[in-house]
Amino acid sequence: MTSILTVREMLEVNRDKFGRLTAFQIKRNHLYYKYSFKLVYELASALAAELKKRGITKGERVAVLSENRPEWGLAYLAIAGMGGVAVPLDAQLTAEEIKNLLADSGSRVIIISRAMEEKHHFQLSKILMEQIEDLPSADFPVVEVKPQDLAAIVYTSGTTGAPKGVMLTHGNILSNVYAVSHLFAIGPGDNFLSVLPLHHAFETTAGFLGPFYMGAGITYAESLKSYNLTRNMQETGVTVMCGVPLLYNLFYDGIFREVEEKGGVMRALFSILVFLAKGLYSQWLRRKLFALIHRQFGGKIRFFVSGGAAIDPDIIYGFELFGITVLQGYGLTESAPILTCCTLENNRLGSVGRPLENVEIRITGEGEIIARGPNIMPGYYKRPDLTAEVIKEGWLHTGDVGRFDDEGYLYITGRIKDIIVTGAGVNVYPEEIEYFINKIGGIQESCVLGVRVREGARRGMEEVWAIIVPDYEFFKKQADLSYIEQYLKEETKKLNQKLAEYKRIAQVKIRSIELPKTTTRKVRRFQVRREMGL
Amino acid sequence: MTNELEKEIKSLVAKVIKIPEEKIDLKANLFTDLGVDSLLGVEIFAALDKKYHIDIPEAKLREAQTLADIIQMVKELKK
Repeated sequence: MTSILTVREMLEVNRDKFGRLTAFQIKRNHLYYKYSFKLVYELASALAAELKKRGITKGERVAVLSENRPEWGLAYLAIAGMGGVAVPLDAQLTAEEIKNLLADSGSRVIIISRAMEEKHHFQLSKILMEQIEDLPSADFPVVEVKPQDLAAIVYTSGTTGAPKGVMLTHGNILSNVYAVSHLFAIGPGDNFLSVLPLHHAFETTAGFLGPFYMGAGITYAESLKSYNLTRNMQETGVTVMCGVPLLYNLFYDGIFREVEEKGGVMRALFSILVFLAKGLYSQWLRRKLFALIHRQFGGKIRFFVSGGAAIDPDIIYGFELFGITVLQGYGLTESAPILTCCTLENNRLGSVGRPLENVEIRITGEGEIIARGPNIMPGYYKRPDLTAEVIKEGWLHTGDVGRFDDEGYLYITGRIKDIIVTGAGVNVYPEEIEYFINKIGGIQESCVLGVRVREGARRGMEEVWAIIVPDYEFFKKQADLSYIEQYLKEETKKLNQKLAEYKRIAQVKIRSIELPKTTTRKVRRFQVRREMGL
Repeated sequence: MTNELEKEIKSLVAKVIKIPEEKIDLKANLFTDLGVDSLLGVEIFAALDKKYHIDIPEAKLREAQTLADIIQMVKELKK
């Protein structure tokens, strides 16, 4: 096991070990504002003391809501460090959705950015992130925290109906960070670019706690515009970035778009370079061939990591030809989250890598991937019923289908569970969307499915489709198909305005006959998919 | 000139989202009809910034529901 067992210990060890080295930095008013490991400790102490002053005691929940910024990290470290439970919230959710999660978690205090506060105005004790630096210096409150104590509750769904919060202990999180730290030679001198939303478990571990644990610096992207990302990379010498497939697709397409814009000669030259790169097996030589691309990314990139959803192997191969390795990993929020990961030394195209050293993975008779290890959550918050569905005899049932090759590399081949995983690595639960669709007048029933996009920048990624069976009685005289189709499209458009962006319905298909169901009246999604030719 | 600008922007957006130009209607909703999400939307802004030497704030993404909205935004920022 790891020698660092709690978030508080990690903060103290890193303050002593890495002191004045940069832990976090962000560009504000044209200058990079830096937070050393020592300063992070001091500010987290002051914030933890403030939480204590507001009556937060061990085990109490404190919500965190903001765009990506160093103060998000300070908030997380302060809450977990003083024995509280951090509740990271998705800044993309609507006020109503956030209120539902605040109520479910019983958060008494929220640490929030001014921008979010001005947008939502929650009736809750709040600490503005912009004011953290003005808090009086204070010692870290003394609270005994054990590895089995909760550090965070991460909501994966249920923003509308029954919330589903994944409970993660200090042991869950730090055992995962520890195992990942053994796979990569990362430390001071490395610089991670933080791009993905920090509430996402993949970014929390791989983009925040992991690098922090290993003494690497984290640069918070000033914006998501690609030219800003590359500028941040160039100005700060970024060495690693964790991203989702859609981000890499955009980078990849952007390279080709620039070549295209430069005209025929450049296009021809680029094609020759790609052809030559195919015959080379040295990444170093490929980097030399595509030096311009490397310079664009700052020239110091060691590798990219892709997680959250399956990435198109062609994109990985394309980057490989440019001399940039994209490593794929696999995991779930319920496993804090990493279960397997490719490394620079052990990488297979299309695979999600081998299990981490402290994680056991098996494939059941039905082909389902199940996992066991110190990183597996104790359960869903206040939902023992849901916990029992996924944790059986200590094994987490992932709902994903996979296979191992002869050398122990895992490949994801399908999915049993009814969720849609978007290109941005966000899970969409069909039942949540169906709940809203079925409330629209004129709908008898609906089935929401994830369908792969066939064209465009999001090709290969899943989007939300709704199969709707109209209530023909409702339409009576105007029951011609084109009218019904138009009506349903308009209504779903209205519904989309109320849903968080990643949950929006991309396509509506009308079905005139009842949805196929099991004897317990559950919709047979596989059959619907087959019958609709999706 | 305006028509020229519209054509240019339409072509650029089509390139970013990789959908044939003829499938893009000026009034189509970027998010619900053309499958644009925030990451892709930001990428559209980035491409426009580069082409027209402007800086469209990311916060404007919510206001840009259609291609026509985007064209209007560019026109205003170019003034």
